[in-house]
Amino acid sequence: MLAGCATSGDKRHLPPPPTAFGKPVPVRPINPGDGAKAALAAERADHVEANRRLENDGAFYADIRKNFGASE
Amino acid sequence: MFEIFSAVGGVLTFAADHRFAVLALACAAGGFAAQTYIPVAGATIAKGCFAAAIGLGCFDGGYSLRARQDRSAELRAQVNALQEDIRSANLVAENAKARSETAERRRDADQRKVEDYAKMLAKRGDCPLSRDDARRLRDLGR
Repeated sequence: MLAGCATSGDKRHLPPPPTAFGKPVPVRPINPGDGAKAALAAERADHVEANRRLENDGAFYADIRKNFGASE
Repeated sequence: MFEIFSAVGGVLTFAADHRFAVLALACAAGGFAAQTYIPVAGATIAKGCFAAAIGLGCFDGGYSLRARQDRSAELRAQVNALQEDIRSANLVAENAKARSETAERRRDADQRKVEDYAKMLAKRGDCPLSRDDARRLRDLGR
């Protein structure tokens, strides 16, 4: 009966987040004389990278909810 | 320090499991005392005490066995839950790693494309940002 008083391990052991989880894409410096098209291309690549990180973070969170029984 | 707490915990658990053995011993002691010190009804009281001691002793055996079984079941459940957590964590970590690797490959590919484009623009000529353009662009998001 006293065994019922034993502490149950109800704390879940979550995996560590991926290395880029929640990390922002750094803003590039802009200087006079930089090529406008090159700057636009670099900014667009950064934008795509930022979206990709958000998608991956969302997928990681969805995996956590799916595998660790988090409800709505 | 942990060893001391562990030992104390073990003693307390043993005492809790065998609480009815203590009562049985008390009954037996009472039986001996009744036999020795009560002149008339001592023998009858002693028999009752000994019977109660035997009964409590048997109950203690079952009680402590059940407590041990409960603890084993609890520990097994905790081990199972931990194993399930580890399995899920490994699965999630593998998925995250695969996504990170894909993202890294695509970022490198994008970076190469940007560099190629910049090289091509450097040869062909790009429209340079004026001081005002640069200031306005830097002000975005501030």
